[in-house]
Amino acid sequence: MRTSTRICRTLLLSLAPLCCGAQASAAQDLPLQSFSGVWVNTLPTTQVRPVEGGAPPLSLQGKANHEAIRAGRRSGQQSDDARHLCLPEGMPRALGSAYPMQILVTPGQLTFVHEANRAYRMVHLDRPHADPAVWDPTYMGEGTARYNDGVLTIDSVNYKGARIFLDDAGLPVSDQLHLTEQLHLLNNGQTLEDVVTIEDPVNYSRAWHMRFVFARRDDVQLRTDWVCGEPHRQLSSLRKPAKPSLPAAASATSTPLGAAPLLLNGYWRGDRRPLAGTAHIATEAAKGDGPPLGPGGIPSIILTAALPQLQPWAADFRRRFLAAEAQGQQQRTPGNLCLPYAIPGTGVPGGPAYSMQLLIEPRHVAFLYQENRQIRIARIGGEHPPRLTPGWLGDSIAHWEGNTLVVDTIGFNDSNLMGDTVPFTQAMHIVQRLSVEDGKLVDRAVFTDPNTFNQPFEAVHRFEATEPFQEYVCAEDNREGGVPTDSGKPTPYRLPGATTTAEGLRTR
Amino acid sequence: MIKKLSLSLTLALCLVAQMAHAHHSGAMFDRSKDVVLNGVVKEWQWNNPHCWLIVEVLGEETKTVVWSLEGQSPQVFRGKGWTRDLLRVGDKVIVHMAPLRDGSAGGSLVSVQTADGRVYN
Repeated sequence: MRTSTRICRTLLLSLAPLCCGAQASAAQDLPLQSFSGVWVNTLPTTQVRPVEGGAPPLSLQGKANHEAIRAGRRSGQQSDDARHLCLPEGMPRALGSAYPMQILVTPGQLTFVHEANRAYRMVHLDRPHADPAVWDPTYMGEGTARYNDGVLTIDSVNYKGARIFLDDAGLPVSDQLHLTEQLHLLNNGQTLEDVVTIEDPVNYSRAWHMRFVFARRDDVQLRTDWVCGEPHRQLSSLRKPAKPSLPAAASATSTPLGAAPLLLNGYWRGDRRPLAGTAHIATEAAKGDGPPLGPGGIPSIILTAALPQLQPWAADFRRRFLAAEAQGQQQRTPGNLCLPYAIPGTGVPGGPAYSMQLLIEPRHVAFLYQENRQIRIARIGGEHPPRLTPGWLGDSIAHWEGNTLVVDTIGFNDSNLMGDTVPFTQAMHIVQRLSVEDGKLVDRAVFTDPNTFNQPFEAVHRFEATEPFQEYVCAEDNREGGVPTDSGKPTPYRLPGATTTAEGLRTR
Repeated sequence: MIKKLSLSLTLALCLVAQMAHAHHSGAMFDRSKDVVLNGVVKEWQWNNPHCWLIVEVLGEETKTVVWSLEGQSPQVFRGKGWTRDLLRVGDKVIVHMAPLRDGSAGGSLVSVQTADGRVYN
């Protein structure tokens, strides 16, 4: 065992009883995949306390900053954007949330998805930090990790210090914040402990520690279409598991990964080159007010079936929408309100400059979209629940057909727009077939919504591999669109003029 | 038949527009106009979903006009060579922009020429 790992383990075992009275157990040397799963903080906190006891060791500057934050909050001069605008809580504050988080383990990477405020962070294994000259500071930090003898060590830097706090109470953070996390599994993988070392020479006189304990809750499904102002999960539903979670080792190996998932894993963006032998429709719609496209545009949506027609109400909506835009009236859309508007099978939100990451696990496939920080997680296997609460991103289940991943999605709300102009209804059903062909990711999607289209149709997107993307936090400072700031309270979004019948069909 | 094909094509094009999404449309900007501003950087915001350049320009009768210019997102600008440190307060710049249709002092940032003569667009 390496000396540093021994020190880490000794630290973990010695600190554990100090904080919450939890029984310290020996870190179990389980496979890294055992960290995969949904986790719920057993003791969510709004005001962190050092594991060592006492108050956080604020420096003189830190005390001044803390007092300025508290005074600013009282007077309204200092905004807590995580609360008022649902911006990411930042680290380590996100770990103290009462809402669940999911850890996905894929080759070379761990991804932490936090339900609260739609935050995620990618942590790369055994890799140096990104160059801060080209990698912008972030809310969730830029982390690298290593896994030795059952202890997962994550080293994170490059935070947006001026925008985050250590906790809800407003403990200050500078851009020199350096977090070192030591995570390990206990209780046969049913408990996750994360001891965080805080180093910030601007605000704290010495390094100090926080401790978070999570219970495995694989019976909980993350709601990743979290939106400010909309109803969220009842936290009381998290108190007791509906059924015991699977032992970590068993759940991680229930569906062995073959070669196909490994090929699908990765960062992808729209391929600018047309598919040979297939008619494509590319550039005209992107001219004018859209962002500049490269030569030839992006032949991303290709209708390979008979072309559909809009039902009259949808065609009328689109005509009015475009007419208003032509008159210089910018229309409110889910996209420009920073909402999770990614429709399966319609490409990468945001256009050609943006990308997505596919994460394939034995039991889940996650789509991480850069723009608007959107996350879709599909369960592999199983069925849709009999009663669904409609949401922005719907409910997705997946299965393998040979080397093709089939993702079936229903349960959309009736507030989204396809192509930023075409509304659709809760009847929408989208089936994607994802595969890798000649090194390209190909997404063939069939759309069925008889309320909106006169017939089902198929669209095809092709993607090329690309580099990791940087964190995107919509509406950090630009308060345009519908993200509210003046009142500090978000308001729910509805398509203008939308009404909903008892059947859930939108009419106008 | 032609009408049917036209409707279908329109639908297909509007689906393609998903790829062209850039947070919001530019309906409020008059892109038929190219306005050039010689000014000094007052503020450079490297933020999502749009970067903002605030420029002070000497107007008529020695009055200073402050222009607020909306740019692309950091991700888009990054791909074109812009950086968060590209502009600093006090820098002299020559800016091309598409003005707001309502005539107020704002527009869509098209390009910036920095003091060293480099042009970013």
